Amino acid sequence: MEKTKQFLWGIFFCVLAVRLILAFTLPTFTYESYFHLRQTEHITATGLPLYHDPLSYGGRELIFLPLFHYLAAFFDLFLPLEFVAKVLPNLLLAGLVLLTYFIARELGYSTHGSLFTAGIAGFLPAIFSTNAFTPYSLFLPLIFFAIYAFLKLQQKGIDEEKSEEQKQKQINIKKNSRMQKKYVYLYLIAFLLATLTSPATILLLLGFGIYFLISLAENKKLPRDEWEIFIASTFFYLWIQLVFFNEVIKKEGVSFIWQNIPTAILPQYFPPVSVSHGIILVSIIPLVAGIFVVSRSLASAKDAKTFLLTGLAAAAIIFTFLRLLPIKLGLSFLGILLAILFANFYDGIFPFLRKTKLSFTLQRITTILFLGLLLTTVYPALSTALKQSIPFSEEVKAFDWLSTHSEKDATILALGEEGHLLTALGKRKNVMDDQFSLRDDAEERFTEVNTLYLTLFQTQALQLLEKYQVKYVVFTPHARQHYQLKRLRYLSPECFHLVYNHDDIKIYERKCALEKK
Amino acid sequence: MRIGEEITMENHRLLHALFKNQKKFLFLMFFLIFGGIFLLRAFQHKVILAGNQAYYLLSILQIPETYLRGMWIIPPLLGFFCFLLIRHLALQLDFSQKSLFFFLFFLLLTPAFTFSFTTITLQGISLFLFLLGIFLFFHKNKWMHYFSPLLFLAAITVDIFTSVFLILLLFFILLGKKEKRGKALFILGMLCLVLAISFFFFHPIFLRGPFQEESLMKTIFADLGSGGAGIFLILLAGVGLGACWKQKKLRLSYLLLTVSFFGTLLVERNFLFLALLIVFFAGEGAVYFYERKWEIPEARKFTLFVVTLGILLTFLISFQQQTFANPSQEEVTVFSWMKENIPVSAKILSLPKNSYALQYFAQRLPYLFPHEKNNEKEKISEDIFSSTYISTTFPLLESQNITFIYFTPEMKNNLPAEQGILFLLRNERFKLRFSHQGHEVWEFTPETQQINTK
Repeated sequence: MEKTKQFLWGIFFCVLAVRLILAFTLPTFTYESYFHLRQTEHITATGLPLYHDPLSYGGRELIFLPLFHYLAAFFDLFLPLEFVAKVLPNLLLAGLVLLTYFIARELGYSTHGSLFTAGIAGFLPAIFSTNAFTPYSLFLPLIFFAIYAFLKLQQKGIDEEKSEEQKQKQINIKKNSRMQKKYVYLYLIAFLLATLTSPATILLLLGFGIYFLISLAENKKLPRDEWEIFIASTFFYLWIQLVFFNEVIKKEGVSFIWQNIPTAILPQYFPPVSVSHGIILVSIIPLVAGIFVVSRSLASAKDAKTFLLTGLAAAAIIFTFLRLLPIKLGLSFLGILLAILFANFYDGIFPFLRKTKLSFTLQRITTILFLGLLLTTVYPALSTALKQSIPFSEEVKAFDWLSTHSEKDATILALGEEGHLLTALGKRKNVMDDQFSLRDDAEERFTEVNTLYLTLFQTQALQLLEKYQVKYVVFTPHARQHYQLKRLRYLSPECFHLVYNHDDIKIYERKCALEKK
Repeated sequence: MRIGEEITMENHRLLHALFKNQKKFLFLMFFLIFGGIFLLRAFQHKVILAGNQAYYLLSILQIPETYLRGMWIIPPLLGFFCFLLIRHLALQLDFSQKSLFFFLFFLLLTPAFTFSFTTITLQGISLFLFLLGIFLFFHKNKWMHYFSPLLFLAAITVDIFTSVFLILLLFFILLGKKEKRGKALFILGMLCLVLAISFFFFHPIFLRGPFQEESLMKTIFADLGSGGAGIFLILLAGVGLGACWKQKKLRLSYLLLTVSFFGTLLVERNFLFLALLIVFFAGEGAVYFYERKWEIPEARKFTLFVVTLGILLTFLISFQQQTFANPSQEEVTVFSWMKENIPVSAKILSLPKNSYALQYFAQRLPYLFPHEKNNEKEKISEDIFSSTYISTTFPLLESQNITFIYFTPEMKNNLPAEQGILFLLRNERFKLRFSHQGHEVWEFTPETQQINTK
């Protein structure tokens, strides 16, 4: 037991160490992280989230769930924000190692299998974006903690069945009652916090729904306490969404689900699922093992707890397939579930092999499995971390330069992706960023920002620059790569002064205006 | 509380007290809600009657503005009588004490009900006539019975959808009472005959409205729009639907629900009758929650807490919306100016939702009414507001004989300032004729008139 604990903590610290080394080696954060950094900074300074952002889109309303930012802001009170932003998400995601281990144990899997689960979850490529400071790093541990507490609730029925003596049963009931109360509260707290972190908590509700359907189809009687928990969770989820997103739903209707993302860039946010990429992100061995376990449990109709995991996995697949969930989050959730199911596979395959003539090779098979997992999980994870979409430190410097060398009320043109970088570091208004919610003109702005980078005609460019009152244009290597351009083709020295030119990053100041007749 | 122990809400003191004193509590609630809406509207300097349908009816009936001050009392009075009659009817139909309480409590918190009786709506009037008809039908004094068919006839004159719904509801109520089955069948037969005759010979309207442009989602879910029922009430109704399935006597209510649901789905704006059924099933859902034995008391407390918060949130949103609903006193000032200074033949362009109040107070013709459902006019109106070039806008204004455009502050906020119609207003052919508290009336001079002037 002591050895298992040591192994578990060993995996945890190993995962945490690798994540932190990578996080501190790479100097910047992913592009979207700058939005969350700015919100955290604002909460630390004022105690409130920046729901009216004067810089994004030149000034706009923006609604989001703020729990993650409040948590980060709390640590920001006594630690530097950059340190918090690198350590906190990695610490939370490394926590999945412990959580998945306990979930696997709760499901009755062996310690060996559960340790494999912990290792796979820790090095899952889908969640190995070490420099991402996003609410998903809090959401995933919370949602799996809620699943763990829910599984603990199920424990009650099993103990009651086992007890034979009436007296013993009474003691068990009393004991379980206290235990159950504890886990009910833990579940409710975890669910409540997850609901305040991300609307994707609906995954859990849909997962429960599918689990109930599978159980009914398999003629399993559903425990009433599970129904009650489900009803309470559904009502709470809906209430929170209505409280926070009432205005957004009113204004955007159904497109609220797709966050009002312009149709032209929907594929970028919800790309069609590439099978090969998906397999790499969730890792091939747990995927094959997961499919095997699910099909076996559905065929035998015995293992009710596997039904829950199957329901949750189905929910993740449905939501990702219908583009209701960002692909990366869907694959992360699915990948962790597959890691848990791997323990079931591990426990099933070894007793089977023992009965065959291959029993003498068990040790070798374990080693091969371990090496296989290293190759298909750890290597892609490290590769994912090193290929994160982050700005170069020179780009960061350029945006920082703008904060001291441009007028305070200036609007600056940058890529949509770089919008948060501009508002967080440059502290100036952007034309657009990737928060499209509550913007009627998101599609129009997206098209016109593209035009501003691609047009050949100065009059067209000037007309649009005037429309958005743009004073400076930033041209980074990232923009160059994005549009496959060497330079902006409409620039002329009379109208656009080059005010910053370092490390292939250029900033132009607009000096001309179209004359209105 | 231990597992296995029967956990119900029977011992809940507050609810128990509310059940016991429900009559006092519910009447107090009625006066607080309706009184609150009217008082706050008065404080906000809003014209006491809100909503487009009221001004549509006032224009048709040509009721002078001078009577408007006294008319505000009619809707809440009708609402109060409806509330009394619904309670009376529910008692006649043997509702349990709990069902009655939850039904009436939710009814008062339903925006569709409060909205129907804080302004003048045909559905509200029709419901009142219908309920009064039922009351007279069951009255001890036999002479009263003869008035009920007349009231039913009046109630079904609104439109076909209302008629079908009310006849079905009547069928459901009257046939439940065995002792009066003969008379009930006679009345129903007569109503069906009248409906058939009017359908074949007079081609009546299928459903009046819509008087405002709102999506189906906003019509149904009060949390997103102005009328409808709250999402939590609808969820509770879902629970109630499941719980009532075993009661055979309630089977017909499912038919009513289907009819009213498809009626709302088809024409989107008629929600009062569907809301009544939702509230009824939500009440049954609440009774189910109340009487059900919960295994996890924490989950029960949590659920009830959230449901209560959810229903209250919806109510507060709708209460606020009804308090701030237009027309405002500023709008009435602009309309009065129009009445005095704009030619009678002038056609005025504004948002369709402003049309009814404009027509009533200014007594001038708006370009477009929502109930016209004229796609061509809607398209032209959109083009005028969004077009960037005078070469598009001017011919459209001229071809449609639009000579005035009325802008509210809300319109000016939502339209882009540097392009579209707001930018084109800088052209010399537009002239600002009146401005008051952000409301503006612009005159457009057609080309022919401009040449003549020169």
